[in-house]
Amino acid sequence: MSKSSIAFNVNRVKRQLEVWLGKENVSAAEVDRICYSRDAWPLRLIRLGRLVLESQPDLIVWPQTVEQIQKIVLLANQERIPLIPVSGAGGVAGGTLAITGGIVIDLKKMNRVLQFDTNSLTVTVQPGILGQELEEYLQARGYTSGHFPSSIYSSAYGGFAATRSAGVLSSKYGKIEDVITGLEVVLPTSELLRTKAVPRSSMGPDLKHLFIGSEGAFGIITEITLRVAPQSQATQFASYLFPDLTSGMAAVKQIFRHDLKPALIRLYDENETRFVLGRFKSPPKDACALNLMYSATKELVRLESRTIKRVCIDEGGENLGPGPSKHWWENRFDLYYPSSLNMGPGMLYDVLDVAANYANLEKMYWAMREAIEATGVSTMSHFSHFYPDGGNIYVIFIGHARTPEEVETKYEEVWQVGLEAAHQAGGTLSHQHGVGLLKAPWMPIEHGPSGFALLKAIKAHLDPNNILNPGKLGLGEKSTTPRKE
Amino acid sequence: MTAPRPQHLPSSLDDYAKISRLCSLCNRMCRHSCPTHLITGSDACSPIGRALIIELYRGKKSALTEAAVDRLYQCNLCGACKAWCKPRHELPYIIELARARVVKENRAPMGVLELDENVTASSNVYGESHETRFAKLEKALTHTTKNADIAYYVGCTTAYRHPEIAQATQQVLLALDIEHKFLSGPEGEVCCGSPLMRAGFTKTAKTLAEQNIQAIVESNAKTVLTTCPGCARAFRDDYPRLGLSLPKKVRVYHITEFLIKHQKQLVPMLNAVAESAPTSFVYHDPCHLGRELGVYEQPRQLLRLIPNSQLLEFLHHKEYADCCGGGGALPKTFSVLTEKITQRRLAATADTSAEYLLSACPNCKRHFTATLPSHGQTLQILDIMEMLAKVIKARTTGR
Repeated sequence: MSKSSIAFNVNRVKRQLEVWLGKENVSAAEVDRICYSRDAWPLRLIRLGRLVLESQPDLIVWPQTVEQIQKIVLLANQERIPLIPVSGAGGVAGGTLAITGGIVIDLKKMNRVLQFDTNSLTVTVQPGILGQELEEYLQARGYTSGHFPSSIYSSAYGGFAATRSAGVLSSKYGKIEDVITGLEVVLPTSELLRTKAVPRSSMGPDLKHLFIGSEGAFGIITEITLRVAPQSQATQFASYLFPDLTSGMAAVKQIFRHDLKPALIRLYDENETRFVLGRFKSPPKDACALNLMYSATKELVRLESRTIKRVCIDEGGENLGPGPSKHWWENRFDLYYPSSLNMGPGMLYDVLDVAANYANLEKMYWAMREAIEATGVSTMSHFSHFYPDGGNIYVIFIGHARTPEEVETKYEEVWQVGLEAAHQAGGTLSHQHGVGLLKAPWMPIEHGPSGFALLKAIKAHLDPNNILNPGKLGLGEKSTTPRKE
Repeated sequence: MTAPRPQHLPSSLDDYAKISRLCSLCNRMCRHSCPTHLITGSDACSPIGRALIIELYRGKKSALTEAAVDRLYQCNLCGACKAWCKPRHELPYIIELARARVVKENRAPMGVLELDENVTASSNVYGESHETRFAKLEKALTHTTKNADIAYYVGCTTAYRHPEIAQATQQVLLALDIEHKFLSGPEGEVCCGSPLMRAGFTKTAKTLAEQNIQAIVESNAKTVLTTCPGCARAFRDDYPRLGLSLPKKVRVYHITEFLIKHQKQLVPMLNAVAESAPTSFVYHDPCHLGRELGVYEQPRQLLRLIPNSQLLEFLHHKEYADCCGGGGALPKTFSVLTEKITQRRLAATADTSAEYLLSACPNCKRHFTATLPSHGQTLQILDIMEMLAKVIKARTTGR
């Protein structure tokens, strides 16, 4: 049992779970528990790289039916055992870590497509289906989910829904909350809730939005109905280089004001521009690249391409052709593989993903960059999700420290000053990476005293015994990285 | 893309510390391709989990417990993870080295211990008498040529379980007037050692390699043909890793690599009789032949020579092909897991609507054939050599 674990009779509970799920679907083996002590949170991986072992679940179970999950939830309520729902464990904020021990409910064996309605263009899936698995299923039939996060190979739809995930083509296809039409959820007290899978409803608040982004703290998502789209008839890439960030941002705003939604739209700051253009061009100082992908009918692609070309050139952009954008698309996972660069001794890295209105976006970027670089780390940033009224910033930082202790101190400092700058500039502190443990201390800041008190009240009402994913979203247990006042 | 040929690799787990460490910290970019992970759903039973187990062991954070050993052996060593790995990390080879350490520490699971015992006692993986290795091929032996430059190394699974593959291979060779011989007799071929290499028994594998090299040298063969990709890989990759090699003049080919050089002669022989019904087949890439030896096109080129036929593809094919379930000594230790993996691949066959499932590996055929009845699918399973022989025979006999 891990040090911080809440005491319960693991052997007795294990025996009961084995009766319900079968022996092969329950494990208390040490190696299994260690393998479930990580997600994709860089700080956890940096520590694991030094073989520092942290909190682990006491048990891992692989249910195959909703009824099994309901039984587990009932048992957990009786025994006061923390339950941590996990699908892909591809999160980057510690949202699936068992910080107080308990039972990890791994949903990967619930990975079927339950219904594909080609009339309504919706698909109903179980939460354990990986992004890549569903995309293969749909593409084989001429459709696409349109949901392409960098973690598509490792993350699943349960996690997408639970963390309000966004894919790189979200400008066209929408974020996960835009495409989910219905949910089935096992509530923390084991009742089953189903929301109607309909295009829209005005029968009071839309309950599914209580669970989208709730990171497993309000319920266990067991079924998801999503909108899908036919595969595009045509795809075209384009890249432009602007004299500076302001002109690039002006072009982006104009694109949306022309009512166009290119599938891919990524504006890079001067640092990442040098990285992205690489072999294509040596950009002048301050220059910022914009990568685009149009994916639609041939007519619409032609229109998007023509209109956006005019907009970009009007804003001072240089047409770089399709090369850089196509190259990025084809190699977009490269940075997702660990390397000696980010995982070498003494290295620290992570990404701050925040968002703001256009009125604050550029100001927020400069404030964050200045604050973060003052800690001694390097940054490169891009803006990769845009809306008519604003967009996100993705600040990648990488640095080095002499000792493991300094690595952790500096890592926390970067987050502290970066998020503080974003908050002061009027931004939200997470655009698509969720909260988990990493941003849990910032929840009261983000939502304000009354907003956060309401979230706490909702949690207390739904989950009176605080069994579901305690500590996440800043609810329940304490976080590992408290915000400094 | 073809995986780089891993030769002259270091042989210690510590030599691979950088790779196993990076794999253990990966954002699980290959996990979705791992056949054992897809069945178990367990993160420990995945390439990243196994790399972490190896790192924990190397770092003295965790011993090779029974569960740790199980996770290391719950791997097909199919190499699917490599296809999705941008840096092309050779994790399967590292898992083999870890298994060798398990064997050294006397912690090997029962199933693989039996494998080692079988081979040590009788020179084949099935524990059957070495004297009967060619018993099912007695008739075929009468069509061999003692002084031929070409030796057909039959291998354990073909000899003991699927002699029809060897018979079909001989029919094709004879149709092409290619003289050949078998490495039969008491001093002839023994197990290639591949299953032992995969299971961690390098010492036994080395003894076998020495015996096979001697048998080939004494046969004066200049060309060695195999119908088993595992055997071909043993000769070409494993023996050099063990510090052994065949004489430079001797070339080892998988039969599909060899036959494609004779495609001009094959074309008229494969011209099916006019009234033959159209047929369709899907080709399953054996892991050793595809991802390890880079042979993807030759089997397909051969199958495209068959008139009035349609070559279909799995959604996951070539370097992304799923394992048949029979690799990595998994059937010896976790037979239920093997069967589920085989069933998964058979289910994917249904998506193609093919009449025949073809492979170029006796081990794949063995697992597909054994699992098909429980899967309840109407499908004919043949080795590529049987299909070629069947078409040649149909032309010759008019049926």
